[in-house]
Amino acid sequence: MSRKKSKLKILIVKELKELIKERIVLFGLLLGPLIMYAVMGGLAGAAAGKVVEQAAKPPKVAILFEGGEPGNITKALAQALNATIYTGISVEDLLNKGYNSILLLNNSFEENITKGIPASITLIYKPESIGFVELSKPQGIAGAVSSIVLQVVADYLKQYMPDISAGFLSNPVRTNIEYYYKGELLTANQLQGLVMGVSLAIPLAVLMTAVSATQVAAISFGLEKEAKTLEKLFTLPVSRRSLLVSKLAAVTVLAIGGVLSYMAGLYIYLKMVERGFAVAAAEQTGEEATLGFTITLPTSAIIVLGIGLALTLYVSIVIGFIVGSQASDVRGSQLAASYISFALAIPLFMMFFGVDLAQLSTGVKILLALDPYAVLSMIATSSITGDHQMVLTGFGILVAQGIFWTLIATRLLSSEALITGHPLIMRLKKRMTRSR
Amino acid sequence: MTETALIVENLWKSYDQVTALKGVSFEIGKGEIFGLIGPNGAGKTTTLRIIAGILHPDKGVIRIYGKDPKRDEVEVKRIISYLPEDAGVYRFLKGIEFLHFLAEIYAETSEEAEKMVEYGSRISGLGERLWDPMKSYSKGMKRRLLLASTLMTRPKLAILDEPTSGLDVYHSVLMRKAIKNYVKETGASVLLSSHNMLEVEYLCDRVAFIDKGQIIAIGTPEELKQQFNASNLEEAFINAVGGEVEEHVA
Ligand SMILES: Nc1ncnc2c1ncn2[C@@H]1O[C@H](COP(=O)(O)OP(=O)(O)OP(=O)(O)O)[C@@H](O)[C@H]1O
Ligand SMILES: [Mg+2]
Repeated sequence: MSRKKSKLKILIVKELKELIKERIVLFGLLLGPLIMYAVMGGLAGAAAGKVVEQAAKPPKVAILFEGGEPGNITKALAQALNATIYTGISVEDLLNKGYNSILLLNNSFEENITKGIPASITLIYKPESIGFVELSKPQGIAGAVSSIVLQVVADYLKQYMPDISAGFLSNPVRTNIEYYYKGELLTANQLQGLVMGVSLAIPLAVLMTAVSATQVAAISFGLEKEAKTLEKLFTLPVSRRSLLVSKLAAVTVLAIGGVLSYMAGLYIYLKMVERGFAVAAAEQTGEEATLGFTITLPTSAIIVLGIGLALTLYVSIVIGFIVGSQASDVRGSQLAASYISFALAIPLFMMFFGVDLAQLSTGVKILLALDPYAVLSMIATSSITGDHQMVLTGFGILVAQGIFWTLIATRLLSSEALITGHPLIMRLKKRMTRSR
Repeated sequence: MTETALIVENLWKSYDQVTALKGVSFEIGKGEIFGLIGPNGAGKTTTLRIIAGILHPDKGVIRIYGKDPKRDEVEVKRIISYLPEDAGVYRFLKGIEFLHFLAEIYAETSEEAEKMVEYGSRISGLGERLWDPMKSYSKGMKRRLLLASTLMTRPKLAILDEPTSGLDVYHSVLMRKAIKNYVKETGASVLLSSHNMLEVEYLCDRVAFIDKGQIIAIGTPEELKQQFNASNLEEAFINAVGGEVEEHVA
């Protein structure tokens, strides 16, 4: 006689088999993030190539000198910018000649510089398109003009101060900025990590995974309701708790699948963008290029976030069960789960748009403590600033939430209303019509 | 050991607005097929759901092979099997996967599970279609699979709520034979509800008439026919519920 498989495992396998083939689960949770990021990565990669191409195309500069003969500084500028000096011609005519950058200079420019007075010059630029790179090109030319003028001045000053460099003149004192944030001194890098990690990456990750988990949990009940299989399921010789645990386990497996898909997708996305830049840059310069930004988070923060995310995921799943048990079909459960997720995500959106949740009044904070996403974002912020007490408080709140919602879910699951009708909603409706 | 498979004593059950059961009592012996007959809304499904452990009675006692389903929930569920009135199927599971799923839940060993699946496959009569996803089945095919899955776990008490509803004449006859054979082979008991008097006369050893949440008569089909002075069970039933049909028609 062979050994018997565990009942829980049998229930989980059945749950997975049924859920994984559901379109919403398969495409929304498992394949969706991967496909979405790959497509986005492809588009962004192509766009990156275009950007590099544009940036590499040098502008054609002409100098239009008005009033007299150009002096030494103007000639040095023309040489450095590889530009021709014109006199007695209109701007339009010059643009028609195929130039797209025209530097307007005159006698007073040279006079001011030799006297040490800041000079003002005008650069007329005709952009090829309205894009970030194209519009930032005149800044580059203006910068080049400044540094060339500085070089000329530095050469002049060298007669008196032999050690002086153009670099010193352009930036005589370098300031290291540190931010005082919630009692901690943070470097710009740390704060950048905070901003990138907390206000962008974490809300996105949480939204993607927790929302999907809530949905799948709700759907797992919606499916049973719609297919009218719950009644048979409840007469099987297994405890209601095993049924809940098996659903929980199956949804968790799928949620982890969703997280992995999300992470793989994000990785592919970044790689494709990076490749887009590298390929285009290699075509232009023959050199490899790398991505210009990194998200740096301390290891301890990553661990804390992992625990926080796991707890949030659990709470989201149980809330999904509760929502799903109230619905009568798949669509209903999915819709209800979407509304709930959206409501819970509002504090995250607020954070995204720069509202500091810590600044809110106590009443609002207590309300936010009921929202697992808000608590997780609080944990995330505290983990980066190193506020251990707040991190522990956050964990405590999430555990309390988990216990509370589990109790509610177990109550609902053992309630016979799950079979006889729409449990809560029906009862509320009846109570309302009766009191009228 | 008791000689009865099921004891139901003074069951009361209210939903939000209606009192569905008003003191229902009956007993089923071992190896007996017992039919619950009554008009729509009489309380048949409510009674069966309470016995199957899905609903809780407001009042009353249930003993299944001497056991209290409230106290020994899982143990009792192991020896019963329930076919709900409007049960559905999982959409993406194949028929055979569904049978395997239930068999593995009920069986003690994998050999036993295999035997159950083999038996279930046979009485379902679905043949090759067992390997198709269940959402592709017709109403009658789903019903046959569900009935087969209910009997295949070898329950000591099978609770069947309108087992042949939606089946064609041919398959109804096959299913009735399967139920009768099952009882003959195993000595198990069956509690069923039905609107088909032919079915009831063919299958049931004893019958209870239920109306407005109360049992109004219990006996063998022969006894009931005599009691209500009728030539067939249908007539007996009409007479029992008070000849309301004529009133309605007139
Ligand atoms: N979920 C429910 N909510 C409220 N009332 C209900 C519910 N289910 C059944 N009832 C009521 O309980 C009474 C008994 O219903 P039940 O389903 O047990 O009848 P039945 O004998 O099975 O009828 P049918 O032959 O139509 O299947 C009816 O009056 C019905 O309206
Ligand atoms: Mg019924």
